[in-house]
Amino acid sequence: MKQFFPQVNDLPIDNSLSGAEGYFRNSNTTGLIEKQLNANQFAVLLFVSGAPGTAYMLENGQSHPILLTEFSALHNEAKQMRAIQVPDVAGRLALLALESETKHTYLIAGSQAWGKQIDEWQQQRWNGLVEVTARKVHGFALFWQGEPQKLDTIFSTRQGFVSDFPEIDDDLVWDIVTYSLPVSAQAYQCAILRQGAMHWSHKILSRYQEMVGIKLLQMMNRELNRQIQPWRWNIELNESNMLDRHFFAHLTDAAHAYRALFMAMGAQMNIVIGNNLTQRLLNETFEQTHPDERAILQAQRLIPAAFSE
Amino acid sequence: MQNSNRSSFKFSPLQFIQLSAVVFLILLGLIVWAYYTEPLSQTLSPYWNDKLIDILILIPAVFAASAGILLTRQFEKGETPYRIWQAFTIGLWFWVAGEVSGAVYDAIYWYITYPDFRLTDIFWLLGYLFLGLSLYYQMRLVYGAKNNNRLRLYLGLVALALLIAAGLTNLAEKAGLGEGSAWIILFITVLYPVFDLTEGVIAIWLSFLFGRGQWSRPWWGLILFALADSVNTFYWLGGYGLIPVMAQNMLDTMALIAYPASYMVAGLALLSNYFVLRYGEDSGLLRVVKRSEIHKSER
Repeated sequence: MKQFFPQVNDLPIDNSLSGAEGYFRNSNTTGLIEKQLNANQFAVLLFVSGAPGTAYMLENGQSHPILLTEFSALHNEAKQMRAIQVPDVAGRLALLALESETKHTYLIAGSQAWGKQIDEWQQQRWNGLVEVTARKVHGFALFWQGEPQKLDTIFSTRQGFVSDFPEIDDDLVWDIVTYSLPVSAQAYQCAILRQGAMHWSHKILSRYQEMVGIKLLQMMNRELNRQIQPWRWNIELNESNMLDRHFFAHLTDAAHAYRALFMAMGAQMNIVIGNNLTQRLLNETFEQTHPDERAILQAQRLIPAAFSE
Repeated sequence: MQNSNRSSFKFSPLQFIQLSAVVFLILLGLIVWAYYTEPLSQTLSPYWNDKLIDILILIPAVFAASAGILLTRQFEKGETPYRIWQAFTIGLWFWVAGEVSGAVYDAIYWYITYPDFRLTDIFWLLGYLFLGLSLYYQMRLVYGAKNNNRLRLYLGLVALALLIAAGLTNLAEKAGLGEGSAWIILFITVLYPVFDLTEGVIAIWLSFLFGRGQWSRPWWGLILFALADSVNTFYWLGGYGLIPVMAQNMLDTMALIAYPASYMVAGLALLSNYFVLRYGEDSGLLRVVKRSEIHKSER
């Protein structure tokens, strides 16, 4: 019987959909409601920061979206209902999995085999989502250019959610599912835009630090973190990294947030190093981003010319 | 950020900069007044009037070099800006040494012939060398140069400047300039405008690159140095013979003001950058983008 993040305790609500919905809405949290229909079929509804997102039906490992009304109507058929609160990262990776198609399933036994598999993905510079299921752990990791992305890796364990790959016991077997990412899907585009925005901002912040030193970089980060606070985005600027842990359900919402951030970044740099150098810095670093990331940034008009005077 | 020492300040950093600027304006007025009215020449001697002006110039020179130390200390040793401002500060201290040694030479040789080659020249030239090095580091950083032969390349450029100066010295000698002086003295005399021109052009270029950015301002001091020295070069090349007395007087006044003003501008800019790094937004010197601007960007 499939469950997302089974190690996480169910929310202490009665077995009613309205109770669970009310909880997510009131607390503005991300979570999911699962309705088990039978051993091979279950429905899931994602809540994104308190707002209901998309509902999906999972049958024999494949998912397809259903209407919210259909999801509500399943109440009588459901044998079991479960609602859990999850971090934004878990929510966005669950959504990505639900939007994707299963590509391969593996059984991995022991850390050596797992290490070998990781090496293989690295060599292939593979892009995709990996789902790991074991007795004590369930979670997802997004691989981009063959590398697991730290901010897009999450596992539920008995101790709670962790963002590092758990240790694999040699006597345990991991069920691995890899998903191929559908280019047109919103969740995929959000993921690539996120990678693009994070990688570009890392290059910008690193170069800025090189030019003006760590103190001015920290000053800028503090100012940007202060400016974005009212938006309640789960995004933080730390040293030379933009740490985006927010669950943007729509591409336009994500683009909107990154645009605001890059614009504020450009304005702050402009004060210190002037508009010419800011423009040069943005251009140079933009050219260094991966072509796929650059393409999606461009498609959302997140381009250097938009962020310097 | 580091606000622990703020309470001990009588003035805010912004007020301190504003107050220093006012003091410097008064100082500039005093220098011009002392130069043209020669108050001490009448009461004591021209020597003391000259020393009064030297001391008035030394004040902003020491101020700038000290501000350079404060700024440099704000960076970690491994950071690139540390190297830039360290070289800049060393250059300024060599020029302070040049100012002081010039005054000492005056005290010894005022009434007799000065030696052809003075320690002062060494200090000036070392000052140029280190200020040039800071410009070089800044240019490399701006253009993102990565190779490891940093110093070697710079020394190569210095050698090129020396070669150009040597060529110009030979030309000057043939043209009859600096008659009676040894070649090396003529060479050093030529070297100053070559360094001035080179560093002035690079400083202008950097200022252009930095635009209105806070980090461009210390370079404005070097531009003023080059401007002040260019008047001397023009005079030395016999340019004064081509212009009316009125224009000569204007150039003299311009050089008289630009020279101490260069220390003042560099000093204020260095101190301002130090305050920004030390006290951040609380310094009042760093305009922050208002929150409304990030909201505006959404539309």
